[in-house]
Amino acid sequence: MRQLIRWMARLYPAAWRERYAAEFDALLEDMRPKWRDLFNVLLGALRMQMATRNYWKFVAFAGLAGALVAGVYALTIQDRYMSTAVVRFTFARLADSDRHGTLDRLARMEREVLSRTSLAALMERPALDLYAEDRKRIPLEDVVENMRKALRINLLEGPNWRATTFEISCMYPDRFKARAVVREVVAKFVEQINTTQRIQAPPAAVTLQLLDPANLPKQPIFPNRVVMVAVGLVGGVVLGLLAVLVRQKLQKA
Amino acid sequence: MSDPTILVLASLADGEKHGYAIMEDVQGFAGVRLGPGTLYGAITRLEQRGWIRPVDSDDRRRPYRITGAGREYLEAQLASLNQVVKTAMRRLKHA
Repeated sequence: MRQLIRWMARLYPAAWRERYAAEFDALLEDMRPKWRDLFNVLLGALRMQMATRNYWKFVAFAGLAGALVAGVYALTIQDRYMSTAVVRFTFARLADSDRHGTLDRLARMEREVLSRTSLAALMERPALDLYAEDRKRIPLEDVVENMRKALRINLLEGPNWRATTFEISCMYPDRFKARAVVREVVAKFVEQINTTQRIQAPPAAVTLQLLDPANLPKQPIFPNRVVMVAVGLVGGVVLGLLAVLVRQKLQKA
Repeated sequence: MSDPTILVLASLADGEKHGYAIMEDVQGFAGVRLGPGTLYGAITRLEQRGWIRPVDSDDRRRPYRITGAGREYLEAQLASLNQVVKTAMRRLKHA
C-alpha cells in the first residue's frame, strides 16, 4: 500500500514534488497507510494539478482516477458463472388443435419449476445450500425472487411447436453449484412430464431430449472488469473535462 | 470543524511540528484523521499564503511553524466560530 501511494504521489506537479516529496515520503513511512489514503493522495494530486493549471494533465489523471476507482470497485464484486443446458420437448400423436393446450401445459410446468415451493426446496437442499448467507439475512420470499432472476428458462422459437426447445441457465458465484442447479431443473421438468402424463388426458407421448447437457463454466460471465475499468476511464476523463470547463467559466466570471 | 487549514494552524499554535506529528495531533484534539493528500494540500496552501513556514532541519521530517499572519488569521477564524457557537448555544437554551 505504501509503495502504491508513493507511485500515486508522482502524479503531483513536478514543482510540488521537488519541494515536498522528501517530507511527504517521510510522512508515509511514519503512518500506517490505508486504502482510503490512496484515493486521498490521488485527489490531492488532481487538486494540485488543477491549481497549477496543468489542465491536460488534470484530465489525464482524472481518467486514471476513474479507472482506478472502477477497478477497485470491480474487484469487490463477486464472480458469477453461468451454466446452460438445452432441452427439447417432443409431442407425438397430437393434432394441430392441441397446440394451444400443449403450450399452456408447458407454461404450467415452467411455473411449477419456478414456484416458491420448488425453488425454496432446491436452495435448502444440503448438497446445494444455495444463498446460505442471504437466507440468514433477508426474507425467503426475497431470496426466491433473487434465485428466479438468476435462473432463466427461455423458449427458443422454432417452426415446429411439436418439438419445443428450451434453454435453461443459472448464474451463481459457485460454478459447480450453477451446473448442479441446471441439472436439477432439467430433472424437475422430467418429473413434471411424468406427473402430467400420468394424470392428464389426452395421453400424448412427450419425450424430453437433452440437446446440450449443463456445462461447467470455466470463466465467470460477470463482472466484465475490463469493460468496467474502461467505463471508469472514460467517465473520469469526461468529469475531468467538465471540471476544467467549470473552472475556466468561473475564472472568466 | 473539519477545515484542514484551520486544523493544521490550530495544531501548530502551540509549537512547531512535522507532518506526521500534525496528523496525530489533529486526530487527538479534533477526532479528524487528515489523509496525507489533505494534509499536504493544506500545508502547501498555508505556506503559499505565508501563514506557516518550514523550520530548517537536517531531517526529512521537516517541521513547520505558524507565522504572525497565520496566528492572526487563526484568531480571526476562531473568534468568528466562537460567535457562531455562542449564538447557537443561546438559541438552544431558549428553544
